[in-house]
Amino acid sequence: MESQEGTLPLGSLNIEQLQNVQKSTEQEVQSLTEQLTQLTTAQQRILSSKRLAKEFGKQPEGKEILLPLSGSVYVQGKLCDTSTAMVDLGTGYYALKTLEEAEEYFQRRAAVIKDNVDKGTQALVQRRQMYEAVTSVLQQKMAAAQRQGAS
Amino acid sequence: MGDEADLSWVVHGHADEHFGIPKVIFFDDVEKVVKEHEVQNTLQNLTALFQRYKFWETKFMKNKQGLQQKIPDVKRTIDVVKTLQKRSNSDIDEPITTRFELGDQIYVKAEIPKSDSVSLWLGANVMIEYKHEEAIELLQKNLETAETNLEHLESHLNFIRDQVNVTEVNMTRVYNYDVLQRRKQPEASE
Amino acid sequence: MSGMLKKEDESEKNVTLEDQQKINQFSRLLNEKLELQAFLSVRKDLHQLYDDASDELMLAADNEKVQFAVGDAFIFTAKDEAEETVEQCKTEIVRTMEDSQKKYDNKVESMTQLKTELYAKFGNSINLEEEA
Repeated sequence: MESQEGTLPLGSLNIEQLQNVQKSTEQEVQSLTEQLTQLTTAQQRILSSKRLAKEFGKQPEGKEILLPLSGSVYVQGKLCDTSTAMVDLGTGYYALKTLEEAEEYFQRRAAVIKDNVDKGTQALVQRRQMYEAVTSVLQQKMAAAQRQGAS
Repeated sequence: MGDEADLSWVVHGHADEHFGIPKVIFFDDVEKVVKEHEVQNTLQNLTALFQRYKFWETKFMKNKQGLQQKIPDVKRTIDVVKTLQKRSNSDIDEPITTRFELGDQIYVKAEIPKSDSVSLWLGANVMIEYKHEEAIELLQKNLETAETNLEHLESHLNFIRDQVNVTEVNMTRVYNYDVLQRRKQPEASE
Repeated sequence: MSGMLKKEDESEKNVTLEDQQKINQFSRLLNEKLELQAFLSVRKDLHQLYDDASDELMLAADNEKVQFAVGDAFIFTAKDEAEETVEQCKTEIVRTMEDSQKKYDNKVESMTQLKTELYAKFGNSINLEEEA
C-alpha cells in the first residue's frame, strides 16, 4: 500500500529522500503521541472535576473537614455551602455556578477534549502506518543497493 | 571519547570546595604548550574537558531551577500562615470564610473557625499540627536553607562557567597559533 | 557567551591571565544581568496585576466581601482590608524593583568598563556583544 496522503509515490523516491521522509514521519509520530498524552491527561482531570461536582452535593452542610489552603497548609473547617461551586474558567476568570451547572460545564469541556483525542488518535494511526510503509520501502531499496554493490 | 583523553596535564588539580571539579590551567605560553603536547592532542583534551564542564553546568542549572521554583512556594506558604495568624490575633471572632480547591478547577466554600494552629504537610504521608508561630519558624528555616543552597549553587555555577571560558580561550589561542604557524611555514621554507 | 576570542585571528596579541579574568568577569556579569532582567520583567507584570486589582476593588461596594487569593485558596475579605493589603504588596514590589534596578545598572556599568578595556587591547579580535 503506497500512501494515505495524497500522492506520495514512495517507490519512486531514492534512498536519501526515503530517509528524509522516514525521519520527518518519525518526528510527527513523536509529537502527535506527546499531544495525545497531554490531551488524555487533561481529559482525566476534567472528568475527575465533573465527578467531584456531582458527588459534592451529597456532602452534608456543616461537615467538618481538613481543608488545604495551599499544597502544604491544612486547617480545620466546616463546609458551609454545598450547593455551589466556583469554577476556574482558565482565562483568569472564575464563575460561580450551582453544582449542576458546574457538572454540565465540565461535561461540555470533556466532550470537546474527547473530540480532539479521537482526531488525534486517528492522525497518529495514520502517521504510524505511513512510517511503517516508508521504512519497509526503504529497507527493500537498501537491501537491493547492497546486493548491487556487493556484486 | 572524552574518557580516553589524558586530562591530567590540563588541570590544576581538583577544587575541593566545588565537588572536586577540576580547575583548568590557563595557558600562559601557548607556544610552550603546543611544543610539549602538540596541537591536535591539546585540542582534543580541551574539547573533552569542555564537554565535561558543559555537562556539569547543565546539571547544576537544573538544580538551580528546582530551587528557584521551591523558594517562592515556601514564601507563599509562610504568607498563608501569617494571614491566619493575623486573623487569629485580631478581635474578630467570626470564622474565616474561604473557597478552597476541592479538585482541579473547582472551588467550594468552607468556614474556618478561629484557631491558633495549622497542620503542615511535611511530605512522606506526614502531617503535623503546629501553632502559628512554630509553623512560621519551621517554614522560615526551610526558606533559609533553600536560599543558602541556592547561593552555594550559584558559586559552583560561577566556578564551572569560569572553567568553560578559560578552556574555550585556550582552545581558540591554540587554534589561532596553529593557523599562524602554518601561514608562516611556506615563507620559512623558501 | 562562547568563543569570545575570534578564530582565524591574525593578530598576535597575547592573552594574559589578567585578560582571562576580565573575560570571566564579563561573562559572569552578563549572566547576572540577564537574570536581573528576567526578574524585573516578572515583577513588572506582578505590579500591573496589583494595579488592576486596585482598580477592580474600587468598583466593589463598600460592604462587599472580595475573594482574596491566599495560597491556593480564596479568603473572603472586607474591601478596605483587601485594598490595604494590595497597597502593601505594591509598595513591596516597587521597593524590590528599585533595588534590583540599581544592581542591574551597576552591572551594566561594570560591563561597559570591561568592554572598554578589552576592546582597547584586542580590538576586533574579541567579540563582547551579547547575542540578541
